[in-house]
Amino acid sequence: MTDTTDLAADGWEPILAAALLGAERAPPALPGPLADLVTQADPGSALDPGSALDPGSALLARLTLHGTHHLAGLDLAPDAMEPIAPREPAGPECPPAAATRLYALLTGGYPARERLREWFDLAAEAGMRPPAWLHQALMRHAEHLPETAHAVAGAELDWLASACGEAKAAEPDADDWTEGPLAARRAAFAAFRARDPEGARVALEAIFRKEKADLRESLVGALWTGLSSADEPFLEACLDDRAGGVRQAAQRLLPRLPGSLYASRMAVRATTALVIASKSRLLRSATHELIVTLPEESPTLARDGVEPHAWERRGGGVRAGLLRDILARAPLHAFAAHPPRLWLELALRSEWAEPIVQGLFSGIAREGDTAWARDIVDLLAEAYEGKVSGLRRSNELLGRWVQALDLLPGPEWEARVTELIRARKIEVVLAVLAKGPDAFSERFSAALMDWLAFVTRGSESLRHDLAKPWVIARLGERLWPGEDIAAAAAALAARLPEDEGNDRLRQQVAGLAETLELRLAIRREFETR
Amino acid sequence: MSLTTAQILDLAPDAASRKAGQDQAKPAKWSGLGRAGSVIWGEIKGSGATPYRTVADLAGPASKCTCPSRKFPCKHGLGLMLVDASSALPEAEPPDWVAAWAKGRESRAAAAETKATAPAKPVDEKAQARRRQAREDKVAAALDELDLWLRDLMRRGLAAARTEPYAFWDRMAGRLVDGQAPGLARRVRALPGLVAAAPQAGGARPEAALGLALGRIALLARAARRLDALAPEVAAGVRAALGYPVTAEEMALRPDQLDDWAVLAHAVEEENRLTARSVWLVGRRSGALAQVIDYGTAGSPLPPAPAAGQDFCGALAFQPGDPPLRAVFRDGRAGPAMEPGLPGAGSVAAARDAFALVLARAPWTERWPVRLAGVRLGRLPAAGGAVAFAAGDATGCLPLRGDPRLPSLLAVAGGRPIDLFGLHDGYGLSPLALATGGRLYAMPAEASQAVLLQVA
Repeated sequence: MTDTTDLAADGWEPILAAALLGAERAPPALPGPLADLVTQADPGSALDPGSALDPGSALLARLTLHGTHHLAGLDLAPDAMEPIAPREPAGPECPPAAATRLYALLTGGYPARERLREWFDLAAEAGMRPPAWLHQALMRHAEHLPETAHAVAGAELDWLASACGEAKAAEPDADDWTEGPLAARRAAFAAFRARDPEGARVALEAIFRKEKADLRESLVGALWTGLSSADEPFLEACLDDRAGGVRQAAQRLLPRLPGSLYASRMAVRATTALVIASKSRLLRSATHELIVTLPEESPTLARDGVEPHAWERRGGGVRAGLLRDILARAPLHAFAAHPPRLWLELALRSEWAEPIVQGLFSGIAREGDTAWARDIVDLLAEAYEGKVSGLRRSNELLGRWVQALDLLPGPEWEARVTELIRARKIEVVLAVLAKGPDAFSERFSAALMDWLAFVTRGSESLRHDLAKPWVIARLGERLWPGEDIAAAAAALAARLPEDEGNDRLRQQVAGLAETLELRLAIRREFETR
Repeated sequence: MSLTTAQILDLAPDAASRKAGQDQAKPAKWSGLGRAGSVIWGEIKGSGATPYRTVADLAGPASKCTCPSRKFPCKHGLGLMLVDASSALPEAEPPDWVAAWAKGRESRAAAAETKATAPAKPVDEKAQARRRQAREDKVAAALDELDLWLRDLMRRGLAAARTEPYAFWDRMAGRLVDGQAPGLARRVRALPGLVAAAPQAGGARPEAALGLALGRIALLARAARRLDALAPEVAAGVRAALGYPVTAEEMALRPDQLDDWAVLAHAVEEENRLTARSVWLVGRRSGALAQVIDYGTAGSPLPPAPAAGQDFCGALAFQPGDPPLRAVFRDGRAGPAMEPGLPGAGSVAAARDAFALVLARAPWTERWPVRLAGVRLGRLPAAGGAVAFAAGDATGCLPLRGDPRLPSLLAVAGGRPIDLFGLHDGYGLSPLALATGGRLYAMPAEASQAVLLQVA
């Protein structure tokens, strides 16, 4: 590379070529100042007077002289290099302690992933960036970095990639979603769709038939962004697409349109399968009965994405599986004839409790209907208290209650669990904690820590119960990362009685305290300037 | 005084210790933490029944721990220093075991000093002369053999030599080891690597590299035959390059060179199951360059040395040689850097001239440290798809040698002018440290992750 600039300048290349050939075959040296130097300098060493005549020795002397001369004279002009464009100043750097922490997290392997996400969330909030000396390390971890990392340091990492001469990743260019590799087209189309949902779909319909199956599938999936009832006819048509992937993509999207033809088909199927027969008697309250007609598999059902699964034979049978899938896709307004509570109460008593509950829960989760969720949670709470006739308190019921609570929004979940905590229902709280929101509020965290302290001060068997479900250590991820909470966790770990039976609990509490301490440390490091 | 976190992490012998050290760096894990001057200590619960006692002297930096780990410093030592780095430990009365360690260190240092200054025991001059003569004869015989081998190689040509098996080179290297010229042996042993290497950015083409290396060997061998005709310092440089050790008596006679030596970087290389660590220093007042090399093995760890980014205030003693470079630490203390930046840095042209001057004085020199001031980094037109980088200013530019850590360098430079320190071999520069924005960054001794921040 360097050599090309000064090929002619010195005699190095000819002598190197001669050295490659060897003294036996190489042409003799051309006269010149350096060649003269060789003959002068080599009148034979005292040890070997004949060496001046030795062709190998003469060639070596020439090689050596020219080589040294060449090395000393290697020169590149200032304009041989294209200077790298300065990076735009980006913003304040994070404090050194936070930078060191980031370095540790980057080298910390898989367990540090969650904390890495937290670090970048905090950095984004503080408007700070990682220092330049970490950019290469970040670039190496590019595919594992959280979303916020690209918001915080994306421009700088792009600059570094281009400075290193790496081709820039395909830019999601809105005008160019019709060309390029699949991932780039999908990204471009999603951007287009986010800007103009209607226009994007119309444009997609125009070229849809000509494209390959995997691209059609990918682009239909991208209609998730900005999905509305206007997309219904197109998606309905996709149900008849020749590619299975396209059909599945449409089957995934259509249940999200409660007013669609698809929804009405599902509603009819659901209300055919589940019927509440009411008998009203004079002067007495009405009695209700749930009549379940298990659906048969059919091509029309399969077209809408409800297909029998082989594994259903083990748990409840194929047709029960079809029922669950229909309920999961049916709009909730199909059940408007009766209150949610009644549907669930009757379902729980029926022989088909499992598929119906799972189907309904999926529907509630999809539509995010808190009214339904509240009703059902109330019912399950009462049932677990033994206040609903015909329903026994069982682990199964508790499991469904936990699941139903999870359908509630975070604050409501916390309110309900706070009530349970106040009521000192230890086994219920422990079961409930296995699910719920990913991040607890400060208030709820404080309440939970108090409760943990209370339980650990209790009897040996309480502590045993606490340790059993292995949920405590994981709470560290979800608790509010405040000084008080972390101090409470540390105190809890320190106060735990030292006896044999508590090893498991101590381990979990220590894990909880450590995680909280780490999360707190990351926060502190952003504050110390 | 304290070390920065990055400096401490750079002391770690490997990545696993670095990680483990960070895990130990939680004050809650420690008890009895304290400091007296630059000595810090604490106790930590390990897997054993009794807690480990860890003590470190940040001025060394040196550390000692009662844990059974054979790594040095161990994770507890690193952890202790990291605890101190995040918030300085409180001054306290050192417990007995700390005082004993500190005292032991002092007396060992004093013993070494008395040993160095004490009159050597009567030397059997005859026997010494006999031994010297025996070695000279052996070396002379090995040089004859090398000469024959080189002439034969040139007669057949480098193209033919490139097809030789490894044993062909190794046999000659082995002869040189037997002939007590290990410096030459190392150079010969490196030749098959040059033959097999793929072309690299900022380096000579394989055949050119082979030709140049052979030239250097030939020059060194020729100089070795004419030691008597050379100036004493040049002759000493040749002897060092051949692999003659510099004796303790000789070193004792070398003068102290007092300065505030800025420690620019550590570089670690593996040679023959030995770990060779070079500490690169620049005198802030004299502008002199110095390289202190220490060797370590699995059994005997490397001696402590000031960390990159610190200043070593005190004396170095240079080994004889022309131009002088190799040195050893004498009395002095490591402390925080007085000012960041690169003393004695100049233009690209000046660096080239300096390198040419070194070649004129010692043409067998393989690499020489250079300092560049206010250079920008850039790309060279790529020859074969590979991206090549260079550092340049208005007087010219130097290609940078390919290194997995180069992107860090580009990132820290950010496209703006920087001061750069590295080793130059005539073709390209291997960067070791860079100074920009009032901070000094050094390549980590281990080619792992990122350029470490040294001086905040």
